[in-house]
Amino acid sequence: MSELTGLFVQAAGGDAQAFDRIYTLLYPELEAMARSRLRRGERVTMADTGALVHESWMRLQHAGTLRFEDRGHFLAHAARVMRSVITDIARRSQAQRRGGDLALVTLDTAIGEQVAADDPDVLHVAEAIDALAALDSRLAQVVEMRWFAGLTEADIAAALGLTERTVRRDWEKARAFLTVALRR
Amino acid sequence: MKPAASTTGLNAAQWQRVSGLFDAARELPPADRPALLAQLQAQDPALAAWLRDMLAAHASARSDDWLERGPQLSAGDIDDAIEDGPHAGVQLGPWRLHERLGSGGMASVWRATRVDALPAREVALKLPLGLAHTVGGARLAERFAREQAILARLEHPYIARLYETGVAEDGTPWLAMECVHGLPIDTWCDQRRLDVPGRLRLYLQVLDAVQYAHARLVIHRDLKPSNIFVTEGGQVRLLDFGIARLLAADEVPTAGQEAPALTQAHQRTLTQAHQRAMTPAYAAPEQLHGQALTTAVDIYALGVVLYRLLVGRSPYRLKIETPAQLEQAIASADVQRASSAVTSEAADTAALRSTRPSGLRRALAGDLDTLLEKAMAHDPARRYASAAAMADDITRHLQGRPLTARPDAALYRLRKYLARHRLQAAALAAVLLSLTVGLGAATWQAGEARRERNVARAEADRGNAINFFFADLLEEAARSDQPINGSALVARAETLARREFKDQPDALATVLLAMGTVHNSAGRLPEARRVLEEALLLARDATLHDDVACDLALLLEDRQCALAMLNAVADRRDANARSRAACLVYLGDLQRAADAPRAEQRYRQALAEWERSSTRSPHDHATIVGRLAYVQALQGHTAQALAGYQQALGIANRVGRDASTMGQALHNRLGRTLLMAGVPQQALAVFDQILQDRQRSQRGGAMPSDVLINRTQALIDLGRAADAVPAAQQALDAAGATQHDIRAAQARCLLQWAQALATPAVMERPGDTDSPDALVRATCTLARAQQLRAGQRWPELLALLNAAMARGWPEPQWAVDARLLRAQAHGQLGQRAQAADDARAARDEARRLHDGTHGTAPRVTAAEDMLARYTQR
Repeated sequence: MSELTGLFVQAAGGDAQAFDRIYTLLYPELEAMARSRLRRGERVTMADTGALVHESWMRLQHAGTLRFEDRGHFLAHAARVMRSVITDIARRSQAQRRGGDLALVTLDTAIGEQVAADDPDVLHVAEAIDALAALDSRLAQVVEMRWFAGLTEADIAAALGLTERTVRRDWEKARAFLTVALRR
Repeated sequence: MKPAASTTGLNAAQWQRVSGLFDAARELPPADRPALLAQLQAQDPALAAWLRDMLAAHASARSDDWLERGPQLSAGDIDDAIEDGPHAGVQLGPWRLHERLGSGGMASVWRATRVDALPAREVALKLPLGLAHTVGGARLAERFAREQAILARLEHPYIARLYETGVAEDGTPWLAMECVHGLPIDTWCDQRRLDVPGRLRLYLQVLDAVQYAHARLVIHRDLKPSNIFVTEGGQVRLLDFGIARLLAADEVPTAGQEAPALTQAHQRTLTQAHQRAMTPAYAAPEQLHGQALTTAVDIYALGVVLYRLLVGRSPYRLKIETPAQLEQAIASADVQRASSAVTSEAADTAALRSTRPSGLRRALAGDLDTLLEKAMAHDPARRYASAAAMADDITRHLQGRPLTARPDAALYRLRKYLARHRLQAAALAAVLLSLTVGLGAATWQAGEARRERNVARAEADRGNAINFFFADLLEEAARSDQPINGSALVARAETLARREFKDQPDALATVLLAMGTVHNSAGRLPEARRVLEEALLLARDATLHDDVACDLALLLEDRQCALAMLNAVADRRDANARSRAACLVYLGDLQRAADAPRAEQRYRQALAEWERSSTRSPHDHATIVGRLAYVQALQGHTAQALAGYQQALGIANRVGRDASTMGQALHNRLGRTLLMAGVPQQALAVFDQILQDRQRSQRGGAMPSDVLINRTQALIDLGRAADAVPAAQQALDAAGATQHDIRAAQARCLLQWAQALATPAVMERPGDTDSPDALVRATCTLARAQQLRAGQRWPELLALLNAAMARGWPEPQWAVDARLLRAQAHGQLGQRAQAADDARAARDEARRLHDGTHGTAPRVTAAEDMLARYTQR
C-alpha cells in the first residue's frame, strides 16, 4: 500500500494530520500543472482544473502510487487542494498588484456573456465556499468536486457514498446559498 | 479575508434551520411557500430573508450561468506573478532562449539558437516541466540519449526533426527540434476555407508520416491539431513524434535497450503504457485505462482529429467537456455519427468548408461516416490496421471507389445497443430492417458497375482459394497418424483459415460460414453464433453477406429480429436467387409452428427462387421439397406429404446423396410425418432403417440423437413403454455426447414420459414445460401429463392441459394426445359431456391425420374407444 493510499484510510477515519499530509503531497503537483496552464495566458476553467485533477489521478494510478479503489478519496481530496491552488494563485497575483484597479484575475462568467459590473472575483467565491464549508462541509465538498475536479453528479455520489439524488439536491442548495452569499 | 460568520451572518444552528426549511419549502407547491416564510418572518426576520433569497435563487437558477460551470481564472499577463521558469535571453546549456513559442501542460517551448555555432541554427527548444524532479537527472540524461537515437532516425519530410537532447548544468532537460513555421492543421484549413476533399487530401500527408513512424515502431501517443502543423506552402509537419514517451515520468523497462531496433522486447517497451502525456479529448479508450499502447491509439487519435477537421466539433455528444464526462463518453464509445453531427445551425462550420450545412452533411454521409467510425472503433482490433489502410480508404473515397471498410461499425454499435437495451420487438425489427436494406443497397449501388465486371472473377478466385484451402486441410488430415474427429477438424480449419485468409476477409467469411453450419447442426449454438457474427462483419461480397445474415438470423433469440433479417434478404429483388431461397426456407421454418399455411407459401416461393437460380443445386432442391412435405404433414395433408418425401428422396438419390446426411435427414422427417399420421409401426421401421444404414456405412462418432428421439417417440406411441425407457436413455446419452442441449432436454422428458408409462410409481417432475423450444415444451408437457395421469391427479392434469392447449402444439398429433388425456381427466371428474367432446374432436383429427396412410393407427383406435366410453350410458 502506498503512502497516499494509507493516508486516505486514516483521513477517512478522521485523522487531521493525515489530511494535512495528503494536502502537502498533492499541492505541489497540482499547482505546477495549473501554473503551466496559466502561463499560456489562457483561462483556467472548470474543465481545465478537472482535467488537471484527472491527469494527476491517471499518472499516480499508473505509477502505482494509487489503486483504482482510491479514486473516490483521491478526487475528493484533490478537488479541495485544487481549490486552494486556484485561490492562492489569485491571491498572490492580487497581492502583486497591490490593490490595483485592474482585476486581472477575475471570475469569468459564461462564455459570450458580458461581465457584469458587480461580478464577484474568484477570491469572493472562495470566501463564500469557505463560509459554506464552515456551516455545512458536505455541501462545500460537493461544490468543490463539481467545480475543481470537474466531476459529474454520478461521480460525486460514488466518491462520497451518496445517492445521485442527494448530490443533486445538495448542489441545488449550495448553489442557492452561494448566489445569496455572493450578493450580500 | 473576512471571517466566514460575518460573510453570511449565520451560525451553524441557524444554517441548519435555513437548510431544513429550504428542503421543506422546495417540496411545497409555490403557492404554499409564502405561509412558511411568513411564519419564519415572525420568529426570525434575518433567517427569513436568507430563506426567501435562497428560494428565489433556486427558482431563477439557470443552467447556463457561471455557477453551473464554476469560476474561471483568467490569467491575462499575470505571468510575472506566477513565473518561476526560464526567461527570454537566458542561456541554457548551449542554447540561448529568444521567445516563448508556447506552453503545453508538460513543457514550454522556446525559439532558441545555439550559442556556439555559426550560423546560428534556429530550433524549437522544448523544456519539460518538473521532469528532472520526478525522474532524476542522471537517469533522465541516459533515457534522453537512448530515445534520441531512435527518434533522430525519423527522417521524413512531414515529421519535424528532433536534432538533439541534453540536460543543462542546472538539471533542466531540453530537446532541440526543428522550428516549424506554420499553423495547426485545423486553423490552417479554416483560414483557407478548405473544402472536404481538400482537407482529406491534406490529411493523406499526415497519414503518410504516421505510417512511416509506425513502421519504425514509434508511436506518437498525443496526436492532436496543435501537434500537426501545416506550413505556408501546404506541407504537413508532425511535431513531437515519440516525445510523449520521452516525457513520461515513469521509467521504461530496461529490456531491449541495447538493441532497440525492431526487437520484440523493444516493441514491448514502445507499446508500454505511459499515461502522462496525452490529451483526453483525443485519447483512445485503452489509453484511459492504462492498457498497453499500440499503434492503434494513434489510429484512434487520427480519427478524432479528422472528425474535428471535417465536422468542426468533438465526436462525443457533450455540451461541456468535463474530463469525467469525456472519459465516460470515450469509454462507452458514445461517438456521434459525423453526418448527423452537422446541424442546420452549423452554417459557420460549413462556410469554413466552403459549403452549406446540407452540403457538408451530404459530403460526410456514407463513406466518411464509415471511415471515421472504423478509425474510432472502440475495440482496437476493429480499427484500421494501419495509417496506410486508412489512407487507402480516403484515396478510394476521393476517387469515388468503394471503401474497404464496411459500415460494420453501425452493426457493431447496434448489437452493443441491443445488448444494453431490450427494445420493443417491433421497433427493433424496423431498425434492423432499415439497416440491413441500407447496407445491401449501398453495397449494390457503390459497386454496381465494377461488380458486373469483377464479380465473376472475384468469386472464381475466392472459390479457388477456398478449394485449395479445404484440399490442404483434408490432405493434412489424411497424412496425420491420429484418427481425425469432426470437432478437431473444425478447430483446425478455423486456425488455418485465420492464418491463410488474414487479408482475404471474404474467403475467411466463407470458411466461417461453413463452420457455422457445422456448429449449428451439431447443436453448438453459441459457437455457431460466434463464427457467423464474425463472418457477417467480415463479408464484403453482398451475396456472401446475405448468406451469413440468413444463417445468423436463425440463431437469434429475438424472433422479430430474426424475421426482419430474413425478410430483408428475401424481399430484396437484387439479392442472389439462391440466397433468397435459403432465407425463404428459414422464414418458413420460423413461421411453421405458428402459421403452417404461411410457411408453406414461403417454401413455395423458395422453390420458385430455386428455379430461377443459376446453380439449381439438387441439394437445395431436395431440401426445399422436403420442407414442403413436412409443412403439408403439419396441416394434416399426409398423402401429399408422403408423396413430397418420395420426390425429395428421389432427387437426393439421383445425385448419390440418399445415404448422406441429407438422405438421413429426409428419412428422419419422413418417419416423423408417419408419427404425425399416427402409424408408429411404420415410423419405427424408418428410424431403425436409418440407424442400420448408418452402422453399415461405419460412420464414426455419436449416434444421431434426433433419430433416436423419434424412435423413442415411436415406441411410446406404440405403447411399448418397457422398450421406450432404454431407447430414451440412449437418445439422452447421444444428445449429451454432442452437447446438444435442446435435444438433451427433449430426451430427458421422453425418458420420464416412458417411465411414467412403464412404472407409474415414479413421479419426478419433468424438465422444461416452459421451454422456448416448442418441441421440448410439448414433449415435457405431455410427459408431465402422463405422470399426473399415472398418479390420478385429475384436477392438476386438467389445468396443465388447458394451459398447454391454449398455447398450441408444434405438431398436430400432440393436440390429439392432449385431447385424449383431457377427455380422461374430464371423465374421471364426472364431466362426461366435456369428455365426450374432447374424445370426438380427438377421433376426427386422428382420422384426418391418418388419412392417406395404411396400417394400424393406435391413436385412432384409442380415440374411438374413449368416445365410446363417454357416450355410452
